[in-house]
Amino acid sequence: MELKIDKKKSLVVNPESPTVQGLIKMLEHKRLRELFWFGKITFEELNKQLIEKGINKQYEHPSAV
Amino acid sequence: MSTPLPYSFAHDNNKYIFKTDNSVAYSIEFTDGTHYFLNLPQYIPVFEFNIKILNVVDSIGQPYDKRIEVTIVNILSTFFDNNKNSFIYVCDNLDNRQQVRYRKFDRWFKKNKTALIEKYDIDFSVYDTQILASLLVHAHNPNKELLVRLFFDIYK
Repeated sequence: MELKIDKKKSLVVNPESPTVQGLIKMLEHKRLRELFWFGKITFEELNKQLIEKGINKQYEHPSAV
Repeated sequence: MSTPLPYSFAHDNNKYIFKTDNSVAYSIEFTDGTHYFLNLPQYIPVFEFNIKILNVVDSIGQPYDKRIEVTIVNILSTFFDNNKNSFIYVCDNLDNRQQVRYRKFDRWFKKNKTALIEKYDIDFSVYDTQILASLLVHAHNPNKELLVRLFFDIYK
């Protein structure tokens, strides 16, 4: 799809934009899950880091990751 | 050349599982993604899309299997049976292969393009991290305009 850009806005990304923040958290969550899958962090570390990164998600069991 | 047949999949609550001829088990999951976006009204469902290989070791060195692609496309089609559904796919960058994933997903979408599903892409860098993400939304989603506007609301 073609993106229609509002010319009145600059093309400088706003790191505080809720969309940018949300995408960063989504990517961080994905990264933490992969670290868990590959045995780089424990289940407890995964849940702890999710809290630290402000990601509103906690896993109840490793099989749910 | 004929299109390969999709694998049959089990489906439970936005989670789809299938197994390939080479015994690689895939889980395609659409999990709640609304909590990531503070600018999103609570009543609009947005999902996070993830592809997970359930038996990683067995999948190493497997040849390319075209049936995987058509199966995932089939799953997307099932997911969009509900026209209020939408999802965001952000490309994992842990191994620096985010561009490869982005291009592959884009290629799959274009090859299997349907007028009923629209894809919007963004590519930007922030905090030295490249973000490659797509929003997929049903053409008749009643909240489409708002979703697209919020998705692109990333500039100063």
